[in-house]
Amino acid sequence: MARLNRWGVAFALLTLTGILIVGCTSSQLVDAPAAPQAPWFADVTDEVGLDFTHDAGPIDGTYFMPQSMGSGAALFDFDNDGRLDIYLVQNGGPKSGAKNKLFQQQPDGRFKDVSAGSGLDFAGYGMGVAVADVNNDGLPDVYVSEYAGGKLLLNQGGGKFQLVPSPPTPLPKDEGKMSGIDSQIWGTAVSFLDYNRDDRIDLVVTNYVALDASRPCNNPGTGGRDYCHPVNFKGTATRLYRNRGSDAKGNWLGFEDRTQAAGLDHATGPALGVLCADLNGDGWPDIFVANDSKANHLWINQKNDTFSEEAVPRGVAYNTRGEAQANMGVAYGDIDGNGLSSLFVTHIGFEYHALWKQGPRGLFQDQAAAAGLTKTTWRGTGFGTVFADFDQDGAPDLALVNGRVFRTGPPTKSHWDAYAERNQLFANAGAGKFRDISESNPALCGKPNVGRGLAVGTFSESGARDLLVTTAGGKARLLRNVAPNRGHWLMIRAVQASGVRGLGAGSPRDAIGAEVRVHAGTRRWQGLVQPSQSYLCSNDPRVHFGLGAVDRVDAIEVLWPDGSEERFACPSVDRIIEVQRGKGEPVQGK
Amino acid sequence: MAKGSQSKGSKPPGAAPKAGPPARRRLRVLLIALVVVAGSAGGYWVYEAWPPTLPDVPTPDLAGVDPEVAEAVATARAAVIADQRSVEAWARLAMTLDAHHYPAEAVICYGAASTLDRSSPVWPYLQAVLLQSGPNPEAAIPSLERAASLVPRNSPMPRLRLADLLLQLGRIDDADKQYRKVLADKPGDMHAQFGLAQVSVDKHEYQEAMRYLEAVAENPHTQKRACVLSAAVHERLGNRERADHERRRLAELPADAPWPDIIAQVGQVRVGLHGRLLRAEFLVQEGNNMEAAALIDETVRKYPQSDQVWAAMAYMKERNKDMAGAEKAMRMTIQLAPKQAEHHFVMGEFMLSLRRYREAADAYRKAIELRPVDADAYLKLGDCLQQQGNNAGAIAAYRQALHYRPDMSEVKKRLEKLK
Repeated sequence: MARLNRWGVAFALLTLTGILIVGCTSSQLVDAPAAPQAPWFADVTDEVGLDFTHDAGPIDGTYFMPQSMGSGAALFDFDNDGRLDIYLVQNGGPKSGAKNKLFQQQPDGRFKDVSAGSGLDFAGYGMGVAVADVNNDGLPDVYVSEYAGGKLLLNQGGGKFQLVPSPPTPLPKDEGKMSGIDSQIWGTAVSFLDYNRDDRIDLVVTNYVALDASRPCNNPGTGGRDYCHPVNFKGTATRLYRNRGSDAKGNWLGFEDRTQAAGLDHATGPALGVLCADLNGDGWPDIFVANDSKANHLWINQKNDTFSEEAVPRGVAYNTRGEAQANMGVAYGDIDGNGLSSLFVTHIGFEYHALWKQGPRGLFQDQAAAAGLTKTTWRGTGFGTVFADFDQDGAPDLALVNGRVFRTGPPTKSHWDAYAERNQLFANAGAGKFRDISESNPALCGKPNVGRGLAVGTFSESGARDLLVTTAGGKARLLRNVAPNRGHWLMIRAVQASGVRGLGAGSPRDAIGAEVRVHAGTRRWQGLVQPSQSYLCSNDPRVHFGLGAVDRVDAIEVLWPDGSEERFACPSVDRIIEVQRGKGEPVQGK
Repeated sequence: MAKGSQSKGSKPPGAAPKAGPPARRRLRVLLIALVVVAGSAGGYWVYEAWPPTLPDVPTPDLAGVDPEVAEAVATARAAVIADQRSVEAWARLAMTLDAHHYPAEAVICYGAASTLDRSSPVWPYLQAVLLQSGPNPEAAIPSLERAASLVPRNSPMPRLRLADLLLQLGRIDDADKQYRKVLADKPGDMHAQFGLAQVSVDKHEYQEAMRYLEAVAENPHTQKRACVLSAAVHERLGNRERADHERRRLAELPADAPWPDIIAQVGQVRVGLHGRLLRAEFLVQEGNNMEAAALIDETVRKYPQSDQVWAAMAYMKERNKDMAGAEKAMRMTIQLAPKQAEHHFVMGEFMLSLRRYREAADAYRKAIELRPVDADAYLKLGDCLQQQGNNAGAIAAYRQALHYRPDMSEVKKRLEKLK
């Protein structure tokens, strides 16, 4: 009785009154508890033999900032055997014994470590990774961005990659077999694109800050040593490299830095995310750069090898209150089937993630709250993020991985525990309205991690989208899609033949930048061939569509990077279809 | 009684029986009223006299924290333990924990202060500010509603924060109501008008949004953010020229000043090396240089081995035009932390301002050695070399600056001039 108080008595009376009221009214007023939802993912990391632990470098009290930013991964078919392989990046520094790893998928779905001798097995302060066939030989090549560096590796076939040396500074006129990519700052997100529509794959390397590694930083709250905030340093310019193509003998000539010529030096920022896509609907690829704690940049392609920065008027520079936020990972997709894709950008834990919905074409407005993305069971500092239709009901869902950049308390015994947070998963209810289903997905969201990279791809013949999570200082995890009652699906690999316009003569390569549309009656889905999304990751380049109950597709339309448009027949669903430029029926008027 | 009345009466059948004679009825009513009054009074007495349930005094993990912080928390905690019904003690502990980043513990203590002092809007407000940035921002709504109900009409900050939160959570109509309530109580309130501009944008009512944005366009608390929204709204309305104009204007505008807010009071209880430096920085921002300098002097005495404090002292002395003192403090800073590039860069800045170009160049070179991608140091090194007549060296330094930061237009100009 002594512990009872006035509030207790009042609460008891109120409760009693409530019970009486409820008891006297219809039982329909009481919400039935939501049925527990079956999980969508199972952790199969050990089962498939994926053994990778991220080395973030020594935990020696120096709080070297690149450690906390993590590293990415690439999902790509390096040997063109039709199975998706995995490349994972390390961050322990060039002297570390921990090297990047290449895992080849075997016919039984298990992974074999084929790193040794591949040329991709090097150590460094690895950050982002992008994949594309830069020399048009039909083999996907790899670029790895690094703190104070960056490496281009050409696929030689047979599981071998050759490093193309970076040029000395300044670039000599006849640099021979140099990559032409001179990145000595802090490369983060990287993406390939064909910005001048010459059928040669160009490269964008975003840079974070001009780090002063000698500068110690304090935790903004507790005051103890911690990783630095980017505002302590100057932001840097995003670099644009033009592919120079090949000489008369067919020797590939590398890249050429066109940053200043293209106007990308007019604005800098601490960049962490990038998306190269046609964001204003003129058919030319633009560049969206997500900046950490600064306004984002949207470089609109002027179709003359230059870009104009238009993030503010197009609505993607700041949040709805006109404030710059800590922008990190980027996802892009048509979440409500209206034919216009939205940009989702992750932010730090005390901010809200942004869902910049497009409409009219080329203009964006943050609708995260209206889409239900601010009503979450928990929140965190988001990094990697992807839209993908995991349950194949016809509406892309959303996944993101979390992990702090500053501690919220004193250091923990295990260094990274103080930065760990739980990931999140949102189901799209069908009209671009999302529901947080993180709690019913323990494999992805149950255990706190320092989530950084999140890559999406299809590893099995089921066609369903699986996830790969990378963490700072922790294990990479492969999560197999086990969502029950999945709908029909279709996966398109859009390729263009090498040899087009006299380039090369190898196998077809992925048509980076192509827009794929699937028509079924009045329904329409669209997707983009752009593996470089999320955070520091390169995803499965194939475009996946969940079709729900739709079991017949009328046509597949592809808007190719050169502006041409073709229609292809779709014989059946629940399969992977390869469409090649020049082999479809031209769409009239295009 | 009823029976007797019935037997005497001449009422028709079915009429309601009389309650009794008027005197007895009045007595009964009086008795009931007395019982109600006595019950209410008793209830109120119980309500007031019965001690409220208070939380256990939080025990924050103070391992490894600055001893001055640990002492401040321990002292505030001891005061609560000594008098658990003291609002002041709970509030002091709450603010001390809040200021030194123990949010979970501070929320509990603000809650206790709110329980003990039901008339103050401060404690629920400060509790809400913490909850708002926590894992479940919606938990802040009841505290903000309570704070909003306790402040005078001309102090709308809790209601505005509530409206801002509702807007962020997508409760646009609820936010709209709160902003309008503020405007009804305090016509012309800039924060509320800016909020209504955001509400209008969210509702795709762009003309209405422009009306509010124009009203706050010149306010130092909103001008930059209003400019951002104006550019986007003009673009949507098809006013491309106006959008471009706003975009250009944006580059010239300073950052918006923060709204006046009592949360600044929390910062004033900061102690420890980090807390003292933050307080000094705040004092400088407030224009209170004398007090900031005094605080730095005191902190140097307390933490003589901290290069950060010596660097802060050098900064204060340079700010107060005491260049000899600034140089002396900076040399002490470098002595304590010789491998920090920034210290050498700052020394270079001091030397450059004194036209001691050779020493400045040496300092910049040292900074570059420690942070090789330092475009600013290359730029300043180029300036020093040029002053010394070494144009070739200057050009090389400028080129390096441009290599790392191609956006540095001032470097391009210098190079053009030298060529």
